[in-house]
Amino acid sequence: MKWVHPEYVDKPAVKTLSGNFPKAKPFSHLVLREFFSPARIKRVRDELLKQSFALKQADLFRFHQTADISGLSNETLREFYQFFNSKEFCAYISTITKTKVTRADMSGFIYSSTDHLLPHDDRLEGRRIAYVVNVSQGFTKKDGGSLSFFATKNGKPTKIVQSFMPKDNALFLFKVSPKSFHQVDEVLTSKKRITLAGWFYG
Amino acid sequence: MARYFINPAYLLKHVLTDAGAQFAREGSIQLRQFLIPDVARRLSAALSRATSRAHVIPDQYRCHEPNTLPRLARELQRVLAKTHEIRSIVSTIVQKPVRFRDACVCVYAHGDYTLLHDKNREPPGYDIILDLTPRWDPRSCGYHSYVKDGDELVRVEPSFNTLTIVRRPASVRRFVKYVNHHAGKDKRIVIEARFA
Repeated sequence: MKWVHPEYVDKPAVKTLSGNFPKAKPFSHLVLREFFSPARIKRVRDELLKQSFALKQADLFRFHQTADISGLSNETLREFYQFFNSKEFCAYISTITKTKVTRADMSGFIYSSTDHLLPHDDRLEGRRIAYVVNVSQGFTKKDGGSLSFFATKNGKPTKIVQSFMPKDNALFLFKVSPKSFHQVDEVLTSKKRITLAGWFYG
Repeated sequence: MARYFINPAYLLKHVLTDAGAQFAREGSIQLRQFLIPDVARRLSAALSRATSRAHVIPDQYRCHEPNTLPRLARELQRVLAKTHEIRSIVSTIVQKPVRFRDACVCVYAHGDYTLLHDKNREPPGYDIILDLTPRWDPRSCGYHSYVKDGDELVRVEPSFNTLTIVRRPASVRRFVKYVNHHAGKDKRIVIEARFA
């Protein structure tokens, strides 16, 4: 667990996290600030920004995405992905989310001005826990780009009840479920929302 | 009645026959300067002034509808729905008899969109989009996109006083792309009608 800040891996912390995850509203989630070793995550960010990003656009989204990180030749990024996909980290995620997961996938994303991801629940076969590693810097509320969670009523999203501004070195985890409606708000300025994201599968 | 609204050129048989030939080749057509210019200007101004309410189902759509339709817009809607001239224009272009299904005035502002959701499946037919957007920064998006298996077949960009007709078979679906912050306070205003 050399990638993770030590305060997140001691037993009391793990117990607290696993207690908080299922209680979070509007659906099970955790926001782990300063989660990774600062020097290591900085290296990941630097290497990520050297990759090529393709514009992806459909009814639901507009953003720029790398190829699957597992297929990239960059050593730092592959090592980071392999850590996410390791038995040790999957066991850790399983414990703090009380959800059995066995593997992960990962891509890099940049949301530039006007980029967005509209409301959806992420449900697809095998996806158990969604994650976002945020390495964006210098965002304020006026820049947009927040990860926003919707309340639901009778299985339908109603309104945004939680929003998380992009922050460097933060890990977001949430349980994929019929309630997990979320969006990425439009980026409104020239700042870049930079993340690595994917799902843990079970 | 329709002659008070529609550019007289689009009531000429040979113009519509030519348009029909293009429609047969391409599956869509745009008739520019469709309304008499003064009518289009007055209609657009009246709709721009009208207050509107949002309709939101976050995972399906977010759009606006005028609270009350200006008199001119109500009359035009009646023309679309009831007069044989419009049916005749559409029928000549699509080269088969058509039946009016429904029409609405839709307003798309910053943050509005429609999504390809299973709950939003429309019956196949012919879509009519009359654009009355007075001013639009093309970077704002807000266009209609017709897609089949993920590929875009037709894109209808905002264009003042243009009537677009699109053939939409069951395999083709459409959405309105998210209107981004470049729109500012501008709104895309369209009258949408569907014919079967």
